[in-house]
Amino acid sequence: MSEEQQTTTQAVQAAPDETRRSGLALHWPVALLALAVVGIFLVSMMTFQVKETEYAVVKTSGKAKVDESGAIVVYPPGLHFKLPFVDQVWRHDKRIQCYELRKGEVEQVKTRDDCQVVVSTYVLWRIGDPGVFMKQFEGTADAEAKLDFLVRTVRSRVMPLHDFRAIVRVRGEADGVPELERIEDEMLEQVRAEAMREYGLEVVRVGFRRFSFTQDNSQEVLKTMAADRREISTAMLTQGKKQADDVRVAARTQAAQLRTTAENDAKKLRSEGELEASKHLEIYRENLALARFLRYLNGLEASLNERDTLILGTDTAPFHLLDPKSVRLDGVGAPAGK
Amino acid sequence: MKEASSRPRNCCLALSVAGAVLFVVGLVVGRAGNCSVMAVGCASSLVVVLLGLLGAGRCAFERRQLLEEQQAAEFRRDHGGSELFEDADEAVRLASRANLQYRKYAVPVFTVLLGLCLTIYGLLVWRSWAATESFPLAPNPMPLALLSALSWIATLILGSYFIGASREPGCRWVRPGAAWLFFAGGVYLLASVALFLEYFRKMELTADITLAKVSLVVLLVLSVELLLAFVIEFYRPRMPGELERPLPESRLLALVTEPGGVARNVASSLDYQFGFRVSEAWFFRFLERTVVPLLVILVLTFWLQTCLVVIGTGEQGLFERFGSVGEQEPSGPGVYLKLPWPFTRVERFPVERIQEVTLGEEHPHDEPEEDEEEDDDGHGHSHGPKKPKKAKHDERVILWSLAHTEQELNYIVASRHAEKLNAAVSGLGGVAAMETAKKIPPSALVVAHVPVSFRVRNLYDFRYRHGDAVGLLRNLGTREWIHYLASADFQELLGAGRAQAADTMRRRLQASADELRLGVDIIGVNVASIHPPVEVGAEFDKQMSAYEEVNRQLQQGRVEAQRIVAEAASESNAILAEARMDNFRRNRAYVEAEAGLFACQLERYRVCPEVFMIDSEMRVLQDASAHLRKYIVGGGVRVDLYDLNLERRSTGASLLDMGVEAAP
Repeated sequence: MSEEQQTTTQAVQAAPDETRRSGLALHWPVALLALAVVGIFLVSMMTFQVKETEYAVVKTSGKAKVDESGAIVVYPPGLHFKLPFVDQVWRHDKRIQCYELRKGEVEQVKTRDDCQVVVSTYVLWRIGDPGVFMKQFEGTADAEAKLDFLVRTVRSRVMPLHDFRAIVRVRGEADGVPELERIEDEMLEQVRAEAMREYGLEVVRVGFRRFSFTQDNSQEVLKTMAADRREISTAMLTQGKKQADDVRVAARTQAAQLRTTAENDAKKLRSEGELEASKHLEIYRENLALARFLRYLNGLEASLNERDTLILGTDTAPFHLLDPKSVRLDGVGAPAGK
Repeated sequence: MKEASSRPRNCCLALSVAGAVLFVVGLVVGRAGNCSVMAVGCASSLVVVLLGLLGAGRCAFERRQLLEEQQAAEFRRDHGGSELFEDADEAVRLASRANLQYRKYAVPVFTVLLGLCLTIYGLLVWRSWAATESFPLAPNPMPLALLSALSWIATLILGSYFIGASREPGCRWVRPGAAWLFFAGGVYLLASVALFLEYFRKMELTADITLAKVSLVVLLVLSVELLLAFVIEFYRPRMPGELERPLPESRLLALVTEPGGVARNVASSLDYQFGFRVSEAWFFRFLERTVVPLLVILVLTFWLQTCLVVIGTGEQGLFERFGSVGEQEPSGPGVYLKLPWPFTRVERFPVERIQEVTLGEEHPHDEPEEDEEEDDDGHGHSHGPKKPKKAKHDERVILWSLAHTEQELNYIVASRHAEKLNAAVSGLGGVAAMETAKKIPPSALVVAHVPVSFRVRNLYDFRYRHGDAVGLLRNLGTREWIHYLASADFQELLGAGRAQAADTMRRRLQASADELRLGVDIIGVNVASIHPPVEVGAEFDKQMSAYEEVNRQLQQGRVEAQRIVAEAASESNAILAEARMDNFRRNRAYVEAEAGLFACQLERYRVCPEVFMIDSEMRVLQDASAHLRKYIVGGGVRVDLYDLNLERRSTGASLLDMGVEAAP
């Protein structure tokens, strides 16, 4: 075999190797990606994460792992290992949950004094005992359905023990615990122990988020409120009218007093004047006819004013001068003293 | 010479049958499993059926044309060139013409119609999903999930077979349907995943609709591609001898359904579209070699970017490593390095931002149904009598007689006035009175919108101790509000008691939040928007009107009183002035002066009585009547008439008024 042939043979033998190498070189990213995917898959199969907000329990063949004392092992937040396909991780939120009974719908209840009210209640709860909880419930919805039942049962027992008039009344902070808070405390006390013991639920608080009247009672209260307002309006109007009348009456009284006082004062003044004048009447006795005449003239003068109309005959002096027949220098025909 | 085989047509028909079976399966899964993904799955299966039928038609015409050509060739061979009209058979080649017209008109029209129908269907389905609030879950998802998964596997097998078959001569028209069969299979796989997730209660509320939306988007893209294919086919250069590529064949689906890699498929699509070997250009070859590594590097870079986290101004962050929060003390604004996702993640929150929850409104989840007829908020709770329809509130005017918001809640509030009234009714005695007192509880109703402002103080408590901290705060606030109202007086609350209410509420809510370690600071509680229910708002307005009426009446009374007193004072002054005048006339000096005057007059009288008398009379006539209107009545009048206007008549007296006739 010649050298050239050998070289050709080697080249032919080496060709598949090169092809293989170049194939690997070309496909290394894909291979890497595949390796990464497989790696991630394996890691995810063998580990599990517990979040800060969760409880996690590992079940093997349906049974939860327990420690030496027989207590269920609750895994803390972080990364943990498990056997793939053998161990199953049960996890649940460990935070306080706020559940509104019947999804926030209101329900009618009766108080001791026979008043119908509608209420809506919320419950703050969290898992108290994961072991018991896990046995009793498949998930949050089941637990909340049970809480719904428990709290509604307790509420229907507690509410009829309290008067509406004690719940709703004007009071100060110094008057002690309000009745509604008392009701909530009683409900919490009654529901808490059973929820923890039987269902592993820790009930933190029970509270009212709605507290109102039924439709009929609401209408009655609104009617009463409207009537109150009308009554107040009417009373205000009546009172206002009375006050205005009082002001007027007071003014009239004051006016009458002023007039009376003025008249009294006037009388006093006049009487004083008369008294003073009477002391100087003696002189008029010397000729009473003249005094009378002069007084009449004064009176006449005083009684005439600008708008008066004076109708006189030609026999009245000095207009008799207008009558040529009646005027003579000897004075005959002159008006006689008019 | 081509072989006129019926295999291509049969393959296309088989594809249609497979699509039809898939369609039926999709319908069953969609209906029984309330599976939204199947809305896309059924549509894509139907497209497989239609494309199969279209392909079958195309293959049948092609076959008929071939047969016709074979017969023509045979005829020519038998008769040599002796025929008189050698080319006359061209005019009667019906199969060829039919094939040509099918390819020229039927296929483009079908493609456009299919694209339009799919686009319209996709948009309608999207709109319907957008209007739907919640999607029902499958009652029994496991069997349906398995059925979907089996369908997917079947489509994989059948699709591979049909894609392989499409490479055979004359079977090119099988490929569009086969590619859509792959797509339909993928959608069925998504449906299967959604149903499995529902079964295992993982993201059961969102998985189905999310995957459905993803698949619908892909369907819409493919439908748009069909429309575009029709347009770009016009501009494609026709090369002699090139193999025909079916118009409805999807280039996008070809990327994943055909062997040879993505780059090779892109290259062949480009070659076909532009009419020359784009794939032989150096840049394309370079791209082909480096595209995958580049993508890998890109993904890695993106992933490594998650090592860097920026906590913005006003924010705080808590680092979770493998789900565990090591340090409860939050980190402030800045740039931080951490392990990449999913090993470490950061919970960021704008803690400095003041947030708000409003009490007195319904939560979204328990929103009552709109009911035009019923005057009930859906909870048996009354909003009062005869509320016709809440008037749309004019934003410029906030009135008690108009609803402030759509969902107003009435709260019970204590009332001293009502308590007194109730006590008074009870005091009347008798069964009826007692019943009335029982029926009308001593209280009032009030509507309030109480915004509560708060700021996060402790991020760990706020985010990690409570499932829904804001919802919890709203419930706590509502509880405190109900408690407060049950003890507060209605009248005070509407008036000066608001400030006290706000302060008390803030204090109590803070205490309650602290007790539950909510991690918030209550900044303020605003109780400004408290008002009586809309139904009685008008009565409160009337009360205000009455108040104004009272003020008006009082003002009128006071004005009148002032007038009366002033008049009286004036009259009194006049009386006194007159009296003083009289008094003055009678006082010593005046009387002495008058006596003196009389003495002088007497003296003059004694001298000449007649002249004195005439002087006196004339003086009076001259002085007093100087400005008087005078009538001088000539002869015949025996009686003097004097018209003395003592009341200051406004109209001038006339002689005619007196009935005195003028002298002729």
